[in-house]
Amino acid sequence: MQKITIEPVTRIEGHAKVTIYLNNKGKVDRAFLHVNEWRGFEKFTEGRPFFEMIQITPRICGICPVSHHLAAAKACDHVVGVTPPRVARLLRELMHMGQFIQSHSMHFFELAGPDLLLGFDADPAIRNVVGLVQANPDLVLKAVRLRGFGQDIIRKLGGKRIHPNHSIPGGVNAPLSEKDRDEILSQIDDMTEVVKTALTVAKGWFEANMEVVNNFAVFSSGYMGMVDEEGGLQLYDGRLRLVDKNGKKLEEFDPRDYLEHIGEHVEDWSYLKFPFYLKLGWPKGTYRVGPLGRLNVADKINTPMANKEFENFKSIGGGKPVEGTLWYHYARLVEDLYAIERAKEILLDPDVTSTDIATDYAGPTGEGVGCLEAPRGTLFHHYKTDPNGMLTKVNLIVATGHNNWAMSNAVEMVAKTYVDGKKLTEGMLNRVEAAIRAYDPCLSCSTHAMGAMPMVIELMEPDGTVVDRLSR
Amino acid sequence: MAKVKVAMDWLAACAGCEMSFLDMDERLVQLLEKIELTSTPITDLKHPPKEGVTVGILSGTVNNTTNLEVVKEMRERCKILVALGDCAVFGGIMTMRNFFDMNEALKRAYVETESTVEGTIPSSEELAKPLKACPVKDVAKVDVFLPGCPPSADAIHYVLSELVEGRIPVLTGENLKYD
Amino acid sequence: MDKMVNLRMNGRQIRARAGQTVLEAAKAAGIDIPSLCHHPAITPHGACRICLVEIERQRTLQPACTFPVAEGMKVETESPKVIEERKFVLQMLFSERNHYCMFCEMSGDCELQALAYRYGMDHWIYQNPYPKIPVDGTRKYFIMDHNRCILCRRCIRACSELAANNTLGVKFRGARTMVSADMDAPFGESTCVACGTCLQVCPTGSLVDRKSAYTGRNAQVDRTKSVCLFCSVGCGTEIVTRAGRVLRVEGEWEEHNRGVLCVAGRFEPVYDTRARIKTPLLKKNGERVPVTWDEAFDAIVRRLKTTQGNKVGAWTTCKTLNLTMSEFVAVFQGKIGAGVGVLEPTLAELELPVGGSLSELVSSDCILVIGADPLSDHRVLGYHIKQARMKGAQLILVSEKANEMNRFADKRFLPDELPKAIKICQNSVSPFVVYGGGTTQKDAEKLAGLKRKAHFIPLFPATNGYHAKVLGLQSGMNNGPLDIVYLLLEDSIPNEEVVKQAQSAKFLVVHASYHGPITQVADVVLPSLLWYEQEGSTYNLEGKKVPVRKAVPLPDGMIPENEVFTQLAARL
Repeated sequence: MQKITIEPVTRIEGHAKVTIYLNNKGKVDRAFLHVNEWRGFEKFTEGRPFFEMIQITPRICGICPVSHHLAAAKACDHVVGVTPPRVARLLRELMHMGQFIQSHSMHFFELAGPDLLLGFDADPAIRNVVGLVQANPDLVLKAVRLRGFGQDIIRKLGGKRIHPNHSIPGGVNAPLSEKDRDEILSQIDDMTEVVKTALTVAKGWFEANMEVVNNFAVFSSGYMGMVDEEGGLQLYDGRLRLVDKNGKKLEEFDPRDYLEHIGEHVEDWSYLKFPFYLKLGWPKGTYRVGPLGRLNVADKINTPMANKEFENFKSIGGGKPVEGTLWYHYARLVEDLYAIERAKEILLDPDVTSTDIATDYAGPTGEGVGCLEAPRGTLFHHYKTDPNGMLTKVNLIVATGHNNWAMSNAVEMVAKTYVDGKKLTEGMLNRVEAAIRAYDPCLSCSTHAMGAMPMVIELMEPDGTVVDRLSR
Repeated sequence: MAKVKVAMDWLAACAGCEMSFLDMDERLVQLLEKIELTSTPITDLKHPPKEGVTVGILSGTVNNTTNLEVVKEMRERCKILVALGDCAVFGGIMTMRNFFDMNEALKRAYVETESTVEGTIPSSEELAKPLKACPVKDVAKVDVFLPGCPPSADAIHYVLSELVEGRIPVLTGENLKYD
Repeated sequence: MDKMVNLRMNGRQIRARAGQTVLEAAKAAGIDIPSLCHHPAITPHGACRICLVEIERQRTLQPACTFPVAEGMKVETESPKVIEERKFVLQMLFSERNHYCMFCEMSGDCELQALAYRYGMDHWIYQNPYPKIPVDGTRKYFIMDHNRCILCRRCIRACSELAANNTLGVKFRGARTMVSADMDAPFGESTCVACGTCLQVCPTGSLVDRKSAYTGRNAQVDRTKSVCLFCSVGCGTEIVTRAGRVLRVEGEWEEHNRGVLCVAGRFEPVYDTRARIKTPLLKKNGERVPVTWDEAFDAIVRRLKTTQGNKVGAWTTCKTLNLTMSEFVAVFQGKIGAGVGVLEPTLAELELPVGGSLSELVSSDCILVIGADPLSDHRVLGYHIKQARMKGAQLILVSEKANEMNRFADKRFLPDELPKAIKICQNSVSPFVVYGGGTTQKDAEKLAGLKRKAHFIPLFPATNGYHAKVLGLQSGMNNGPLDIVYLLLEDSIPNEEVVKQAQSAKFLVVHASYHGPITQVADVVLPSLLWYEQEGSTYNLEGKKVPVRKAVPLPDGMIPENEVFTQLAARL
């Protein structure tokens, strides 16, 4: 059996490697997505005071540190047994929206964008954000400003754009000043237009490439995401809803009870574990999270413009969940629009500059679970402490992890569709990577680890003779 | 004037330094007139060019067998090696794993965690082997150190601007931070 | 007149007092010599080696913190040799243990980090051996992370010299040295009294206050100088707040307590999670419902107008401000003609002097403690007595009950043996008499004999007992059944006796900060301010009037206590 290796996968966050096995006829037999990093946050944080997790866990990921910052804060709230005041929850959600705006925008323009806007087969030397700048400087400048806008919301609240300091157990440590609120509001409408521009660009691409879209890693799976009591999309707080491939509700639960519903499977060939729905077992119980997952489980979006796009999205599946991998890019931008509309709602709330920002607490009670939707999917932080509040056990299930099976599956499907064992082309392999990129994986997050490697693609005979080789 | 060739790569990193790099916002676009980005995690070239680059930038901690290879290659192919961020400069948060037995840590992650079902420690040959975590300078000679977690976009901009002008940057004031 | 010496520092001619150290001389001349283990309130140690300077004709660099000045000395404090040495020490310090600035609670305010920034350190030369070093989380209020400890021993010296508790020391040697408590007990199970002085002096993030972790850097928080209201010692404090929230309390170095607080003033108030009374409440149809101040005042005034003065009783806690107490007396006694009093003993009946100072107490050679348990009730004074003992003073304890001071007493006497104790004082050079609520009149008469010789320090059972005594207020509610009883409690918890007496009144007004059993039986409940909202003055145990300042803006809907009385009076 011949083996093709793609190493590393680029324009994703984190380190991954793909191996593709060919059968005797030169057709793709199996493909694997190996996530090649592991750091060990679940072990080396043992013995630290529980509240330090709010500052330690953001270092799991520099693209979505706010997700970890807030999930840790929610877990710590639970550990000390308090609910933060309404204003604190609003400000945390505002920071969360800032992060969605920057992360989703960055992914569309800088990570996935080059494939979509320059083409899967474009010359690798220019198939990146630099190439985009040259092809369409105006659009890229807008994108850079949009990302900066999202980052700046985070900085205004937490002092830094990356790894901010804002949440504490029971609330946040500083209110939003009127000056900062007004400054963000003065830019938000222009920035909303940029998101809408991105949506227009994306929709144009989908229209022009519908055949590719309908044949690119389209497969069935369950879906999971956070919703409020009325089934509206929720990103900061709510209940978790799991639906099957037909959209039928399988489960709706309090995230704190996640252990009753979610398990993690381990394979020998990847450092990233495979979460699954316990009641259906492995591998039947696999599901997808992130933008596609969330929009497939939600009944509506609570902001007007995004809700309109949402109805458009729903119509793609004709009432059933949308299954094509590439639709992630559209779903991601719909969420981007929701995030910026929601941010405006929060900023216009009359209480947003209030100083009632933290609830006092007496002391640690021993265990806490914090859950929210990170840009890439559902994030769980689970801490157990001793009576003094020192961590004894830490369990993290991180967003991208839930998509591990789906990404591997997508890789295999695309490999089968495009990879011809006799002749390798660079564009062929890039499509395999594009399958992964659609999920916007955050592999540092999901393996709580990181690393990166150069890429060499070799086509080898079973005895090791190299038949063909591509290197970048 | 010819553009200064720059290559970037990451080891056991969180991407925060790379995000801080992007946080230069429009200044990055201007900087691209003076520097040529060759291989980076967000471009599709996977190795620094064989003919070499002037500036090589590494972020992240050295923590597995493949990291060692990356460091070696970058050091060989660049004139000035920059260690970007606390992980590359000091070892960073990753080194907390050194206080624990590696097997205990792997067991916790892949066998003992509350949600894991019938777990085993991954051992495929396709995967890199974990090593004791250490900063880049313990493995190769580093020419420029830029600490921070992450270093601010201003500090990154300062360092790159100085290197482009042929000077070795000296960090002072707000550019020298460890957090 | 101190002898002065002339010396040259960095080429400048400066003058210093003989006996000063090079570091002190530099500071007085405005020259900054950095240090880590040095702290002005404790004896210099020379542990960190950061303050090393070049002194002409000295064979090696010398620590400025301990080296005495001499006439004609020539000192260089920032020469290349000195800077190289400082950088080397910093390299050693950072490489020895595990310093993770990125998530450290102290980052940005850490003295070690500031020095590294100052000397442009952008990497470490030496490899870190990554030793596994413990974190001790056994104390309730603060945590010790040994990873961040630089063994400056400020905590050990503070525990010994300032808190006089001598809990902390070190165990092992060389690279294995660790700060430890007692015979290597977990800190939370040791003789540590949680005064937090070590926490306040620690230069790094080794000692971490749990409640205020990650709540803001020094540049982001506000500080208000005030006075602790939790006992009559009246320690000077700095209340640290941000956006109107109290983060922590620190000891004020310039006041008589010299930076030292106790657990009751530093930590317990910040952990108070009792339900606060936010609006006036009026009993209507058996339930207490929120009403406006106007309605509450009207209800009280209506009853007052139809009640004779001698059927009205008004008591206040001593745990309140001067103006509050004065206004209370003026309105209830002066205007209404009610019987007034305080809820705690005031030592009013003891005609003994006051005015002894803590700084002189520490230099005393003989201290007599009677009718008091300072280490339980007036802890910071207790710490000062222990400081005096460490300097050679004799402690004479007159007590028949269990007393925390027992183990430190050189001589113990029962109350009827008081004359023996007094005799010892008479034979001393500068004796002090510390007398508390357990002192009887007879005791006082005997002690009066020491008036010419000794300094006296009164230990009022409650905060502002001093002012209560000045106003002549008597303690105890024993006026028989009354028509109206008015109680000002602030945040104090009344004992069962008081609750019983109060319940026997026909109409009860409770003016307090927190809900409790007594507010459940009141006809009118009025909210009072919390300790960090109070603005006015009180007396500390030296008899000095000290300002109490509010650390947060007055909350909406609250009226300060003295104004409540003024408004009541205006409606009569």
